[in-house]
Amino acid sequence: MSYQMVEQGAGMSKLARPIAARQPVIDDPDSELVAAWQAGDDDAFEQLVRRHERRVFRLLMRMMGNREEAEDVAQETFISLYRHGKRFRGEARFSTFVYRVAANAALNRRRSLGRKRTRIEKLATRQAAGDDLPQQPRDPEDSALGQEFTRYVRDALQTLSPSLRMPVVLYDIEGLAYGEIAGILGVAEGTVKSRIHRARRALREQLQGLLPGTSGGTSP
Amino acid sequence: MNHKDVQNRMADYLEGDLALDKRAVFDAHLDGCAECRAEAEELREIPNLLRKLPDVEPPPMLAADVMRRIRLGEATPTLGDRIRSLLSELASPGIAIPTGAMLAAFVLALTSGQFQLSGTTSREPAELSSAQRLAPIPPGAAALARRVFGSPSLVPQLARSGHAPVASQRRAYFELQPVSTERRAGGAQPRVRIVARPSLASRFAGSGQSSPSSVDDWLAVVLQQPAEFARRQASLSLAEREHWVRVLALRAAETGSTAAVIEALQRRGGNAARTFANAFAAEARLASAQLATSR
Repeated sequence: MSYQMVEQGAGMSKLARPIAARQPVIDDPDSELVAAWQAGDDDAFEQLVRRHERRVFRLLMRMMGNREEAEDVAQETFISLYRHGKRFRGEARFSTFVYRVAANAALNRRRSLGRKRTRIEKLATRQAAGDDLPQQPRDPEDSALGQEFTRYVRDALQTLSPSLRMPVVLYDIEGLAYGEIAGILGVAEGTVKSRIHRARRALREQLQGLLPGTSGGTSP
Repeated sequence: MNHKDVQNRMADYLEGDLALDKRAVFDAHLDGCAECRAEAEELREIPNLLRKLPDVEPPPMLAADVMRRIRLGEATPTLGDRIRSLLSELASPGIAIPTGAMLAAFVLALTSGQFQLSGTTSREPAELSSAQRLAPIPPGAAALARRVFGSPSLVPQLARSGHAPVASQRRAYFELQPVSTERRAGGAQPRVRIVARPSLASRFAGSGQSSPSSVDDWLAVVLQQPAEFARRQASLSLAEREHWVRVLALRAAETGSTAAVIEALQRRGGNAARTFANAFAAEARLASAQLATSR
């Protein structure tokens, strides 16, 4: 089973041609659980799901824009992971592999939903939003920013094309390195970097009101 | 460094990827150009804004739901997965075969006489003799078929899954059964036969009796023929299986026969019975809890 076939089996997009070298990763904190699961222990897989569900769900919330879709795609991600992940041979960190499956599930779902979203749908998304607000603000600054801030930024993210949104979410929110993102999306590191920059430029246009030094803004 | 150069190198500058000498030139430009300076400052602020988005809580039942779907067999490789897996092993390492090409190759193999599929979509179960077709297959093809379709038999479900009452459904299925693995003296090839698969209800109709129809009838079937029932049930679509498990578990909880059903399934052993028993037990726990709260 080639590396590439695993990706196609997991529903990979054209964006996702793996380019990373197939070097075994030694210090993968998931390696013991992965080995147990691959030996037939489904409880180990459940632990892996619990270990990665927060990251996967956060990525999918940012990509899909609403909780219902994110939950559907999260389930699909882990089902797909179970179906194809037994062929995972430690070519990268398991967490990177999980991100890869999630990213492709999200991109495939977005394609199938169609690129067009009506204003009404966007409004509905906005109204349904707020469910990801924390119960307690993490710090006074968050409290000052509040719900309006969250909506601005989330809606601005939704205006980006998925091919720009995915790398900027993985880099700026998830904190992954260029190399990891390149492996996840199957593009060169330079492409990742340029997409992130283009995404930030587009976000800058959308978020003028929140940025320092601009007139008429609701500066935080 | 002019204005355009600065625009082009902005990403490198912000990421700290510019060489020191170039960085100094870049900074000098920013000192004199308010537009570029504002852009650099604002772009630097974007990651901070994104990081301030509040964290999200995953759904509390996400892992449980995933494991439930896995127990119901939803994560077992599909026919397409098996074909991909098999053909990819045949291909040179590192060369990916597009899915379409693989399917085309497989269809070609099917239609070129290696296998002949036949069946019926009539509303009544077909007679075995009229539906079966014997076709010679070349050496190795039986093994290939086993690899593709899995053991013990091929059960691609041709009808769309639906939510009609399970007992009333009539669907067409196809089974691939090796009928002889012996080689005859004359060098005849091993054969497979492909037969139409009748509905679940007709499988359990006793001679001269009608098919089981009520939920209690079906619970009796599970108690009497647990392995057979689990095996047949495993070939249904996910929606149908979930429906079966839910309906039977609820009734078993109501009649207090949950433990007996689980015990019957576990006593028989086998993958299908175990899978069904696990899903049934999980669903029965939910049903019992619901009954307890409603009382």
